[in-house]
Amino acid sequence: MKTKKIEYTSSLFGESYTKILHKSGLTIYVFPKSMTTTHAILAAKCGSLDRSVRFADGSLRRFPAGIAHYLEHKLFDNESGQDTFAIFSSLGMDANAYTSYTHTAYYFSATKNAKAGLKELITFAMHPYFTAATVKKERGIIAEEIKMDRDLPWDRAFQNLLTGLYGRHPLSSEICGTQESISKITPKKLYDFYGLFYRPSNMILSVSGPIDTDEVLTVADRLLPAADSLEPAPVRVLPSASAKVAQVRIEERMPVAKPIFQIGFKDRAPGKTSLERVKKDAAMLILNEILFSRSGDFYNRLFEQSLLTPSFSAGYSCEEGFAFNCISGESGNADRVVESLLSYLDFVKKNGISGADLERSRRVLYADEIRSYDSTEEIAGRMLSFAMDDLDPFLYPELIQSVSKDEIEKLLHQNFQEKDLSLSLILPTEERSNL
Amino acid sequence: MVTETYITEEGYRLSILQTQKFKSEFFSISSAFPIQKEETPMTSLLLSVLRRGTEEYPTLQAINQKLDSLYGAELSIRNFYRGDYQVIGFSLDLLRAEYVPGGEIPLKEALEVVAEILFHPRLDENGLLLASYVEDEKRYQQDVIRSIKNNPSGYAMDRCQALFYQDRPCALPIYGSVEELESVTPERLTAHWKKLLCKFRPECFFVGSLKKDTLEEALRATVGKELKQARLPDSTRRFFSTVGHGETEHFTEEFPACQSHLVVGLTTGVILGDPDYYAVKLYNEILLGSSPVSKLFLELREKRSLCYSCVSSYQAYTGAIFIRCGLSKENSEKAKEEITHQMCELAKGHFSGFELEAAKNAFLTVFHSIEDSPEAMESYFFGRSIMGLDISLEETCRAISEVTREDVIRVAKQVKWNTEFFLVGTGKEKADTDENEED
Repeated sequence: MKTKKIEYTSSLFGESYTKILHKSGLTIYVFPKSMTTTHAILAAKCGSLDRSVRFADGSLRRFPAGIAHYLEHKLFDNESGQDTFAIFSSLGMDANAYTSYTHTAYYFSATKNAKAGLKELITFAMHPYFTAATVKKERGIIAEEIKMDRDLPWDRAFQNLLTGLYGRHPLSSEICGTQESISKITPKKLYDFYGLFYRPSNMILSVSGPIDTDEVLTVADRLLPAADSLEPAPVRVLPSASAKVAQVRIEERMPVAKPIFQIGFKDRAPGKTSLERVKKDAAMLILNEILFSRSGDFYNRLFEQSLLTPSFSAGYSCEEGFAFNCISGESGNADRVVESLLSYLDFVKKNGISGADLERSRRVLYADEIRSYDSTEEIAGRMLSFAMDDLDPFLYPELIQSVSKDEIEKLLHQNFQEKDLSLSLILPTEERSNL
Repeated sequence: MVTETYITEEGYRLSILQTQKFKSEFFSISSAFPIQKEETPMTSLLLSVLRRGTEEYPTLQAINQKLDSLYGAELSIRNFYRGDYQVIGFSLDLLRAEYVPGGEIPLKEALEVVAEILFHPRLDENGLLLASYVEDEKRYQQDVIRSIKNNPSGYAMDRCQALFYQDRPCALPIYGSVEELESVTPERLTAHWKKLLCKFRPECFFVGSLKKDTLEEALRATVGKELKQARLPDSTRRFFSTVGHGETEHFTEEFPACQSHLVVGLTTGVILGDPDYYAVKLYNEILLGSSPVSKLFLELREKRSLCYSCVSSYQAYTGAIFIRCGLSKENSEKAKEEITHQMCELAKGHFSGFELEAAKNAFLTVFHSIEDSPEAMESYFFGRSIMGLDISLEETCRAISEVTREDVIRVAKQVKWNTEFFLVGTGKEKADTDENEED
């Protein structure tokens, strides 16, 4: 395959970018921007959900929880003994990485020498090197990271909500894994996992900043294979999500001042194609803004009754195979919040959403869209998240403008049903609840 | 980028950073007041009460709906410390006119909302701030005070800072205590609002594409009209001082968390504006800072696997450095030994040219990238202006480049260990059995 380029332009934003299907199989996005900082992200399409994978011949293989994240830590080691962080530092760049449910990303920001940074980024991600000793040493660091996350009540509440919604499912395991699961991770398993997913055809490079397509291509041509191996990555196997929620309520006690609640509504019919998903995502974004924004009736009424605080928020998450809406906040009486929420939803379902609320929400989200193109970091991240589904981010404002009131009301009826609700609560430990 | 600072006809200071780079416009108005035990918590409360409702927009919902209609204008409260001063005010983030369908400029209308909030809050028939708003916001501020413990690492940092600063004003928590707020009544808060307005010496910043004339006109018709009585900012007469070196103090507290947190406060004797400021910044970066090649990150995390997080911050307005590590309680002594050891190493000059260059490069990247964010630009210039300093980004970058090895060794010798706070995690980690067993 030869390298192919496709250019996308948006008259609304006054911006354009190029999607490159590189001959190595890597998909590259270059979004030139006359700013000082270049931000680049290289991501492999594997995350904490890749616990059980199926090969072309139908065979299966399983990995311990937290392996994608463990690999993210270890990829910074080099055979030369020089740490990748040090290399970036000597270039005056900040490099880092993160692991999500669906992907693992490595990134840097640079105000000069962006090409040298790209070279390092591709080089270290494409050359894994670790030994039994370095893998063992990392265990202590990750063990502390797991403990740190354990002490954060909002993270706990969210993790418990996923368990409530999905039960036995990799979503219910923390991205870092557990002390027990990480003890099973060996160099061999890491190399195997790496070999399955870190192939150019299963990766995306997203770059934004004062850099052009040819500069990025020069680096890619030099460092990446001249041809795609054509060997596909194995397929993620997720347990078929049961239509019902696994647990309607999960409570945990932690030293919090006020109970933290997360209310989840499981989406029984997540979009099947990426286009269906993004359309639903845009419609749900508007619906959440209409129902739960700081300008809406629900928040303001409950805030005035001291049932909610400004920490209140709502958001929809969707990926292939699962989707849910999460409404979270702090309240001295979470059960009353749930009651009020259900009766409010009934009211809106009966009376319909108002045209004024719809227009207001469209305006706010339109402005958010435009402003998101003011930072190269945000642009590169945004390009990547759309690229994961092979979508064009310039489509999004159009989706926000075009989704109809009827479509939004249909989602309101479908996606906010009491039978799909799970409540996760973090309650104060007894001694603090007296305060 | 064109930068201009001047005193307007109404007598307040306006800085304009004109740039075509962004799709948004940023505006801030703020004033600094000395931190005082009786007043600071009330000032924090006042900002939230003012944001609740005005004559024109009587409820929070009405204010928010107005801002939404201006294409998602974001109005935020500014409330933070700079040294022993509390900075209060509001900021606005707006869509640039070119991107607003119809091309109307939402700035004037958004500034009207700011003026309403500051000068025309909702009052009852007796001219007092609405009692229900005061009570709601008191309760919420008390929640905020209590919830500091929700994040053990942040809580440990807060405790260490309070112990470190001791009798200095900045040791006082910005939201006060639950008890202090109890006694705040609408009468007291209204009187406090009026008093602050008399003393309000605003400093305004604008970062964006608008022409000076358009901006001035919008300001004059809104905020400026109310500020006729305003006096000049008195930043040049403000007094910032460093924390002196004293006896080392140790504090320990138990906490039901899985992880323990060690926070160490160091004194440097150097603040922003001092000749050694840049050398201390580099010292902090080589020792720890945010960089993964810093000595403590490499020794504590990479070599000895003692912690995952290990960060330090240099507080430019007081000269303090705080080092924070999240670790297991049995490792705290090892961590302290390592920190002490690395501080000695730096004072002896045991750091490489590579480490110094990496630290310089890290800062040059940070300062160069300030130009890519309106908020970062405002923060940089405001942070200097409040001390009466006028230092361009270029000057800062040049000063960093010029720091020598000897400069870093000199400041390293004067850094002293002052306060250590250890939050001992007594919680047990629940054994999470993973249900998806591997083959």
